[in-house]
Amino acid sequence: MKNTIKLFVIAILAVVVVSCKEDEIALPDNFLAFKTNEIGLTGADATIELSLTRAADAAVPVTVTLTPSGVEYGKQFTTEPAATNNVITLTIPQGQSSASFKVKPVAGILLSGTETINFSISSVTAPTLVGTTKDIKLTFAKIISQGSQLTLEGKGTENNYVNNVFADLSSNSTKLSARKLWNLSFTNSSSFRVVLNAAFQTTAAVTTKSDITAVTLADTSSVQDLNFQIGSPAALPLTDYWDGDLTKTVFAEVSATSSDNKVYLVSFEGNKAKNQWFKIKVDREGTGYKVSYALIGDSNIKTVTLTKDATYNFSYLSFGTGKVESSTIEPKAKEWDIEYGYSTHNAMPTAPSPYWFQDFVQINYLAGAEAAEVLETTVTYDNYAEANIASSTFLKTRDAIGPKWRVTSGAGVGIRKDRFYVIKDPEGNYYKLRFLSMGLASDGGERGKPVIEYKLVKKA
Amino acid sequence: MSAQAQLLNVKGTVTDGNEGLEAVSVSIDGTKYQTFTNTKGNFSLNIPGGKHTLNLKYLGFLQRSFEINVIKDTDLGTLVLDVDAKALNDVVVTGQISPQSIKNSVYNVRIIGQEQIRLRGATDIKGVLNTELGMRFTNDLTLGTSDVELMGMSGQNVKILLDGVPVIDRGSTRESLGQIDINNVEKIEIVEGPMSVSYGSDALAGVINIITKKNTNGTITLNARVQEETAGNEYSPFNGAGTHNEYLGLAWQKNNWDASAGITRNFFGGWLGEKTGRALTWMPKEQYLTYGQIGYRKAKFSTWYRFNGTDEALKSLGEPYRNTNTNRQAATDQFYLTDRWFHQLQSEYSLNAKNSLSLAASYTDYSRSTQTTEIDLETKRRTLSLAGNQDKSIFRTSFARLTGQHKIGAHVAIQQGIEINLNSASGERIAGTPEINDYAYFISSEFKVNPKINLRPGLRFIKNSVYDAPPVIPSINTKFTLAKGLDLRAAYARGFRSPALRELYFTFFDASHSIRGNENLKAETSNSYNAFLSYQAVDRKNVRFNTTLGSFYNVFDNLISIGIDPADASINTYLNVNKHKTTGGTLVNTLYYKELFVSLGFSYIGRYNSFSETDALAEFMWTPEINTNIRYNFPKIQSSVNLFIKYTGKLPRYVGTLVNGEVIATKTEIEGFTMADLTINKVFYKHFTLNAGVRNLFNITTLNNTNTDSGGAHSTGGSVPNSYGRSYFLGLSAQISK
Repeated sequence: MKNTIKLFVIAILAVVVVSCKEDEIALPDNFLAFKTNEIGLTGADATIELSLTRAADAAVPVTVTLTPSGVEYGKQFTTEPAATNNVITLTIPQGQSSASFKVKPVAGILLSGTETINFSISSVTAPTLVGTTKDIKLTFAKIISQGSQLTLEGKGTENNYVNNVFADLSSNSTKLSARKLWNLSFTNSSSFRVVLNAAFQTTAAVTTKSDITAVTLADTSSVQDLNFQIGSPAALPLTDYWDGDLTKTVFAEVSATSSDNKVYLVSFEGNKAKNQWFKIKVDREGTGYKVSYALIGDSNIKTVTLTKDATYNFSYLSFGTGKVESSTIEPKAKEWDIEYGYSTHNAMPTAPSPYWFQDFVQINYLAGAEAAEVLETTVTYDNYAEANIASSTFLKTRDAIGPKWRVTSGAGVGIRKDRFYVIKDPEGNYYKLRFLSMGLASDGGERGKPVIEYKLVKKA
Repeated sequence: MSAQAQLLNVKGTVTDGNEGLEAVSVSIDGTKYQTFTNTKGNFSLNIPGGKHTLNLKYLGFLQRSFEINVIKDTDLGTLVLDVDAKALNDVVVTGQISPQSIKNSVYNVRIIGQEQIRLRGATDIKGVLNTELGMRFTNDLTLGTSDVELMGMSGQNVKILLDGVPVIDRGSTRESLGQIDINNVEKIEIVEGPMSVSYGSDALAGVINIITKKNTNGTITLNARVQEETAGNEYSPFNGAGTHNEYLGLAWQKNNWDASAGITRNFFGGWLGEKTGRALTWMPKEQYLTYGQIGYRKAKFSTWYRFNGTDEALKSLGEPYRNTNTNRQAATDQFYLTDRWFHQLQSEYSLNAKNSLSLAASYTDYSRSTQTTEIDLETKRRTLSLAGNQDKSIFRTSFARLTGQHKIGAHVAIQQGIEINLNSASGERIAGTPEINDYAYFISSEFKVNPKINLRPGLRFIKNSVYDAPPVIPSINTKFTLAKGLDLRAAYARGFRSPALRELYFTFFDASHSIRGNENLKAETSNSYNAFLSYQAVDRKNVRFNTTLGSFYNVFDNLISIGIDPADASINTYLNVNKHKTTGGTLVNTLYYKELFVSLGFSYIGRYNSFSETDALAEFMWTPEINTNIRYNFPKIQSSVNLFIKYTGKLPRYVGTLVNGEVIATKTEIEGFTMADLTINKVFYKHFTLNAGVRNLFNITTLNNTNTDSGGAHSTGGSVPNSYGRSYFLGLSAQISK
């Protein structure tokens, strides 16, 4: 009997052991790569960034080899940190995920613009691996990219849609812009239009008054509730129309006659309770704007004047910090093509109603960008060439790409791999562009950080 | 004077507690004196005076001995025999004060016995229950889970018990039903209608009590099974496509001790279905199920400890993509890993013939992890996904129920008890590390007013540490014998379901979800009425015919559902808002004729339409069901053929859809379907059984849902997944005893 009991104990233990084994799974490989494969030097210097796919577990020493063509280290250019025998040594500290170096032309030299330097990751310490973009070519002039891959880093620590990301395809560059830096923007063109920050869930309504000091908390009950129910068609007048038509903004065009300009009530994310709303009156001042604003219950009215600068699409105002330099928000008007980020769009095609969401891709329509959606069944991405441009339908609206490139619920979640886009940039270059990953449908990507791939189809 | 002249008369009546038992053997230990009871249960025996041990033996009942000291003619009065729960298939335990024959139970209990389970050749419990009347299984292919619906109510209102002890689930879906090893199940008892007095929360629609195997035939018994099954027309031997079930169990008993242990490997390779790539329509499931048990049993005291272990991996495979860092093909896979350790200790102690104590205690340690990994499809290297979801939720439950059974005279029995339920949880989508403690006292009694009327009133008092529990829950069950073989059971009961831990403490915020639990929830409650009229028309050795007509009406209040938080319109939360009703009728007929067994059942279940109050629509929407089980034994060749068929009619529903900002009631309809299994069975070399069959004869895969508006990340709208098509199986099992 003792033996039998032993047998049972052993059998049970065996079962426990079998059940308890748990597989330890390794962390993903960490790849080091350049952000893009080609950049141009247009300013005083160029910053070249290397990034890891995840933060370094331990400090990662990296060596980059330079192969200059038509220039020589020390004579026409230097780097920071300095190179020795055309080799730059960098270290990515533990916990960090990127490193960069600068290339500086020597002052006072004359370059033809055809000179280049090729940078190549020549070694990286194991277990870090070298990724696909192992080389980058720097040209000492503005470039028109032949095509690259770019990651649009909208994701932040707070959530997946912290930044709006401006991308300039021809220069392979991106600019990150925190979505909550501003509340209202003002056109720098000949028109006098006020645009709400859709990425900040901004809503507005007009009052009947044109004296800002006469507007009090009581006026909030004479307008629609700015904190509307998502999906309600009645909320349509509270947001700017998502197609970007400047005649369909909440604010009427600013009149030269101050008494014609009404006071508007504005609400945004975090300030949706009625006593948190702002009251705003916009007037013209010369060729620019004079903006008066205050928290609804505040008698202390702040005033800001904005002068138009046609280098940028808009001038910006933050209720918190006042005037915001355009350069901190957006690239110059001609230097971006698409912007990825948070925005309004339509909740219901049958009864238009505003809805906030991430993953919206707007084109730089104000500066002349256009986009066409092409189905793979019409012509494949690989085969799309200059000859196809004529038969593609280009749209000039802000939402020409919009949310159409992906599906986030129901059937077929993920990137719509059956289509791609052709973008005409403000300078007239045509690029074909497709989305590679976005972190849905197990596509290997990360939510809030879509990866795009594009190729030059026709040079302007 | 000869010894014979001094014989004294001893007489008495042997009953089963209800009526006299015929042909009970009455004997005196160590002597030749023996007799049998007559048709009324009476016996009379002449024996020498002095101290004796009188033995009562009757097949299917526990043997009983009485110490008697005979000094004059003696009338022992009524002697009650208890049914032997292990020996008889039609003995029920669920909700009973002590094991009862199904005929005497005040509850209408459905039994799925050992034979039916064996002949069905199923590899999980769902495979046994899917042709039962009033049961419907829903499958969520996104999460790889199944839920059961009983009499028009979803799984969260059905209590799952293992040997009478509640089995926990992490949410409202009864995943646990798929995590219990069918190979060690003796039988399944189903009671429809609230059992909240006996079993507390969740037992609104009914109870499914899974009874495990307890006894063995010899000293050592070895059980083994190997079964291979296709998934539709997809199959690969022993691993990959198809279902692969292997079981090994060992049981030992000697004197008063017994012990057993077993392990099952239950693998399902998934089903590709319409898909063409790497992702599967039905995700693969890998299960290891184990148990171990040790027991000590004596006449007055018995105790046993048992553990059940579940190790389950559900594998949701992603479609390949090109890794932008390596330029190689890769894929993201999501694994759902469940570990469940269920320990239970049960004891029974008879103080004397009239009073006994029972203890059931359990501890569950349950965890479920979501593990997202990336696999390089060329190097086969698997690494953790940093962008994907990694989460581990842990649920722990301690449970104890102490009950006392008291017999007061021949006609009254009282059961009272206390129940303690301590729950705790943690995990990414649970706010904090909440604990919920539930305490209850319950009392019920069985009054045999006369041999024809049996009343069972009961009360349960509840105190919960978190939510507002209904302070008292009443029930009354009755049984009237209207004529010989004709019984009427009628009951009223109140039921309740406590808010689940998840409903109280859930927290899930991302770009497309804003859901928060609500700590102010009240319990869901129900008022339930049911009646069953059963008629044993024929009860002869070779022919038996039973018919039962049932009807029920249930009203549920304060049902918890997701709605917009009144305090913050941007957040969804759980609210006590909905009302629900179910009603319907069933008719079940069973016939045994020599080697033939036929059952034929009908049900017609009405589900409440919540739009009927605002729109001029019918209050109930009806679904008919018909099921039949036909079995024929060929004793000479030790074989049997079995056919299980169930037709489920179309399931109409009204759902609210938003049209131009207004909620409109839209009718949707899930089409009807017929599920049918044909199995054959052959015993050979005495110890071995070969099982073969075809499942899902009509090749059902998905059911059309006329509501084509398919929204949301989970499989709700559009076509409804039901099964993976016609499958074939072949199994071999062995039982060797020594």
